Amino acid sequence: MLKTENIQYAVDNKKILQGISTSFKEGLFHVIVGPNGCGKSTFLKVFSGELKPQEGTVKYDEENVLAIPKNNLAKKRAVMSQQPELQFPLIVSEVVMMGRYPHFDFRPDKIDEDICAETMKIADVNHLADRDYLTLSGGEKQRVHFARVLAQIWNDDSINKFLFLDEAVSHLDLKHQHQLLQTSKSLYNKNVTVIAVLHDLNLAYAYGDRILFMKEGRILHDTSDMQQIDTNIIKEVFEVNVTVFNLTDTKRPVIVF
Amino acid sequence: MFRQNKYFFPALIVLLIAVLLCAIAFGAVRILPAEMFSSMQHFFSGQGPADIHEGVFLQLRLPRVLLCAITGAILAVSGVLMQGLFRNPIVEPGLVGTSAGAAFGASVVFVLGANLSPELKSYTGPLLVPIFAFGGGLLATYVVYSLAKNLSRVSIITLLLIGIAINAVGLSGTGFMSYIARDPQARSITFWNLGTFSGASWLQVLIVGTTAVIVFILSFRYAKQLNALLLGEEEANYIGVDTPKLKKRIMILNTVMVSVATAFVGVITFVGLIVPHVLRLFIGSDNKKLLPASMIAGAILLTLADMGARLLLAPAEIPIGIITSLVGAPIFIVLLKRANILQHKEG
Repeated sequence: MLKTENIQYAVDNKKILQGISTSFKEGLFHVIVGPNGCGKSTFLKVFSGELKPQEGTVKYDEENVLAIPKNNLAKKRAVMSQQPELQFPLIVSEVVMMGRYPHFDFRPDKIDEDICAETMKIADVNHLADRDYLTLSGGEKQRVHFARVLAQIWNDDSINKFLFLDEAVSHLDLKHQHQLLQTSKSLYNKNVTVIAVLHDLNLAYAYGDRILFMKEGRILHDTSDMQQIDTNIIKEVFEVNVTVFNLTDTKRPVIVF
Repeated sequence: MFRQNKYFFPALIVLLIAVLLCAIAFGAVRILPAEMFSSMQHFFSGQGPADIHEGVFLQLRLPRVLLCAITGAILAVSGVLMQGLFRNPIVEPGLVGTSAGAAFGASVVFVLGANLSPELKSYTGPLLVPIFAFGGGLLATYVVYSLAKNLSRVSIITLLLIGIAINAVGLSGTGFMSYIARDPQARSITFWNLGTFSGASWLQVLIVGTTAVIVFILSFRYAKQLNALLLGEEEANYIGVDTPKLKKRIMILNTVMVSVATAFVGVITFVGLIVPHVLRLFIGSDNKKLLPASMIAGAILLTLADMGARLLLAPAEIPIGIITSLVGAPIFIVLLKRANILQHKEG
């Protein structure tokens, strides 16, 4: 269980997060949506222990995230950032292997190699294993990082694990968007709780078990019942008029502009 | 790309041995392999060198070649560490002020040496210049690091910019020393700023060699974490690296090794920049391979450069820094150009 209480975060007196209290239930796929600059990424950074909030604490199973040793924390939560900067030539398989770095000292064990091979297959990058990372397209790079973060939390299903995705599908084609989200959703059977920031509302509806709407550093709406999401909510959060259709077969809404 | 050739490391080692043997053999006095062998024999059986050739080998050539190889290895490894730390392939070891500080320290001794207390001089003996250079290097780097530290964290960009500023201060200090210096003193400064191995002794080999072994073992242990840092500090944190601690440790290791190496032989540029760069074209940036490969290649390159320094204008000797820059720069440009062309073809 991931829990926060009254998180406040500000930079130079500009309040970015204003009192966020919420909790995330094990094994579910949570989606955060909201307009640019509403604090989504900061929210993820505070949750993943990268940023220290001025007020409030983030607790992973009752343990303050900032008190967990970094290497232990890395074994239970992985973060896929928007745009990792890697300007040096490295082969793809080594980039993926970085996900296993918290798990071995100097040389990867057989299990690390096996896990990387498996996650590279899942992220559909196994054919790129020997390529120079710098020569890949944006979408391919993103899939490589997905393989990396998967490898990081792939084993030891006895502990609760967390995966944070910050716009993880932004460069992906249709097929790979769905593959990535499907894989993330199926991670519940590995005891992984997923928290994803997404921009495409239809993807959010299609995959989310619960959706949090953020605006100006606050959570405005928070629901697990997709059919509750109506035109007014979208209008309030994004200031855009849309039409919402509820598909009878999936019980999930689709929005049309 | 970077298909791991299993012959790469063995080939590099064979090349290193060949270059070391050549560097020992060629010089003002030619030393034959039989003489190297017999000299070693005499040494280990406790006898003095049998003739002048054996003496030259044991007292001059061997320490010089060894010091040169170790220094080359240090500069190249330091280049990898700094480029990894700054995540910038154009960074070189002296960037954080170490060599400029060392140069200033040395120039103080050259110019104001006569005014220093005789006790200090008799106490330090031949180590006076190295001690001042070492101190200058440490001090400059410490100043850079403390200035770059704001509140709780050290920003890499700030570190880089302050490094440039402190470098300028160090250079102007050295410049001022040359300005007030008499001619021979100014010449010493110039020579020192271009590096030379002509004063190599076994004591130096011992000090630099011991430092190198310790620092290499420690830095190779950080190979994995340095790889993670290539993704950026935030990503490195996410995969469990304590980046503030890592940055501090790498800075300390780098300062110690560059200060020690520079203290004895002066400022040698370009090796720390070019070696990691060229190797990346062949084996990529995985520090687990790049660090050991740079160590060997740095030793090869600087030993070759020193051979050039001794032989090109023999019997006169060219400062080694002139060779490393003059030969290194064009090779570097050619390699970069070729790499660009290859990448365009691939893309």
